Amino acid sequence: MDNASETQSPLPAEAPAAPDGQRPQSQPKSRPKSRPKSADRSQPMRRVSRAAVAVLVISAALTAGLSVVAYRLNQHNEHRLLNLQVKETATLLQALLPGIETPLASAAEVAATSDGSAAAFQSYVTSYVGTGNQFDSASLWVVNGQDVRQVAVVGVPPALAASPDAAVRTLKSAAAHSSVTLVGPFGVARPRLGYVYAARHAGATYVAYAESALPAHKHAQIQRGSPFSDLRFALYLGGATTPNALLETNEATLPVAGDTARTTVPFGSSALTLVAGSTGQLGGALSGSLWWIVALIGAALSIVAMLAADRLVRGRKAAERLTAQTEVLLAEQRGIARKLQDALLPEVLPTVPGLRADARYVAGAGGVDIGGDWYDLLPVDDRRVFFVIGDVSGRGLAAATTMAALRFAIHGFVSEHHEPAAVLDRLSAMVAVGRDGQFATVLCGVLDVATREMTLASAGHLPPLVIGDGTSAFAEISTGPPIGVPPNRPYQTVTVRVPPRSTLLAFTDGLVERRGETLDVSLARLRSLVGSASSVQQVFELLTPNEVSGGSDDIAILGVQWLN
Amino acid sequence: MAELGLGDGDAPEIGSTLAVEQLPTEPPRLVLKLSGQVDVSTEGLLRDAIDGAVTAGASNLVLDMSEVDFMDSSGIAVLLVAGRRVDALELRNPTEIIRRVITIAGLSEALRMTPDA
Repeated sequence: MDNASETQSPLPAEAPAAPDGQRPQSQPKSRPKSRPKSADRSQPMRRVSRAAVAVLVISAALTAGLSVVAYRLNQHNEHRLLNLQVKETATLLQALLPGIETPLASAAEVAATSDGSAAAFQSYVTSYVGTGNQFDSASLWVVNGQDVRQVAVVGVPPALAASPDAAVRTLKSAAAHSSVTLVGPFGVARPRLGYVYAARHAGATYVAYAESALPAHKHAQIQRGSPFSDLRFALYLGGATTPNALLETNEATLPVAGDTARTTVPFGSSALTLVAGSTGQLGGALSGSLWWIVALIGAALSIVAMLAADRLVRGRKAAERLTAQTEVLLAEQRGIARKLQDALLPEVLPTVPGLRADARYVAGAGGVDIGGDWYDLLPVDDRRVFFVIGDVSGRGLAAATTMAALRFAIHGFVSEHHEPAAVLDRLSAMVAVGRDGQFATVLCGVLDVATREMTLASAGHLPPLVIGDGTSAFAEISTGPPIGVPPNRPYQTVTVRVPPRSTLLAFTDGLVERRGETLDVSLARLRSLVGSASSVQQVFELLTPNEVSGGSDDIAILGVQWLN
Repeated sequence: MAELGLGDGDAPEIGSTLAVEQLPTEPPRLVLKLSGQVDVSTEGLLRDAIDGAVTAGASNLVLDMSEVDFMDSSGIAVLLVAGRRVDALELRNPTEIIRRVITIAGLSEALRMTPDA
């Protein structure tokens, strides 16, 4: 036995508690993270997580953007509506033209066809002049070359005539047009607007001239329901918006403030210019309030989103903390399970001259419990050794204590020189599946160093593999029921002689069992894997990777090789 | 060493599932149909189902094993305990996998399988 047996078991690499030397260091490192709860708890309450702030910033930006869009849209819409309304209102102004032009034109034609008869003009125009009629003043003028002469006047004297030179100039230029021309306005406190219409007949030009009053101080009192009622406006004669050209307005000061629209429409031979802004929301109250409604709702949603994000982040952090804690606990538990298991397995296999032995114990993946697998190698005398491999059903402390009891009992029976079958017979009394809910499979035997004979007995255990001299086979054994399972009949022994330098490989079912296949297939795979090994070391070299990547069940393996 | 896995690389404890379905029968006979794997992670489920059956007065328990493709020693222990609690326990139509687990463990007398091989 040159190579003393090793019992240290390769732990799965991912087990955090793996090397004992590292654990005390990693523990204090991870503990404080979870321990000072009070300090940990108060901090995140005050500080909102970064992700939540990001959510707030993004949704606030979105809200601001939407608000601006809503505001701009509304503004654009308002301006478009104002433009429309100003144009419509100006069109309404144009509709006033016939009411002025028709009587004036008729009066001019009457004058022309009567060769400038004052009486004919007066009799025609009288019904249009005076309070409640179109005009305050109507007059007939005859233009003959450079000569301009007033022929008749109905109503108040025309304000135009106050300045005779200007009157002549105005009438002469207006006479060149073939439709109504607007002139003025005249005066400020009681301003008037003049209308000129010229008719030609027999070389002379007969000009009908009328004036109507504008609102006092040109300040219009607009009645509700008028097209002007929801406009702040100023109406000018001609295309310019100078104070002289102002006809009327409802604004105290000019120019019209705020967003305005402007349109110039023809009026006879002249033109009128309307400048107006709106007094309220043309598109309705909702349209105007939309931007701040969006801003308000957006702000509220942003805050809700931030709180939700913060909650999520905090919840995730709490879950991560909990997971980390659980992992530490699990690792600790795994460590405890391993230590206990190691304590129950032989620290060092005994050295027997002429034999070489090796053993492994591998905890099942993810298992935090102790398993019930074990192995043992006990010298009987100077040329014989007693081996055991066993597996108590189930896991945990119950399995481990039963395993320990069986293991130490076997020590006692072997020291009394009982044969393998007798050892199993005696073990049967110790476990009862009906009482304990447990049973154990045990394979044991005596190996003779010199004769290479082995005497085997099995209580429901898998047969050992004998590898030797390029051949391998599972030993033909007589298997009785597991320990603890009736009927309690005497176990049988089988004696086999093995080829020189053979290796006996005994193992528990965790090594081979695989879901979805029969044990025969599993056993055949083991045999094909290690069947050609030439030494016990080589057997373990071939097995090691499988053990570590192994399944859920614990695995115990014992290999003994004859050196002769 | 390409195809390694001797033991179960799929770690049955992690992926094991077991469904237990009670089939309509006349008491005291009771049939439970098992599907899946009976191992250390699912044996509790089987134990509870058997407890329920025994409490309900079943003394003739039949476990339909035709859809069980894995059973480890924990599962065998549950069956052995159940066998002690009822007058008759029968494992009906076990797959070859289960049949071999039971016979290799020397339990073909303790656990009656039908039909007889």
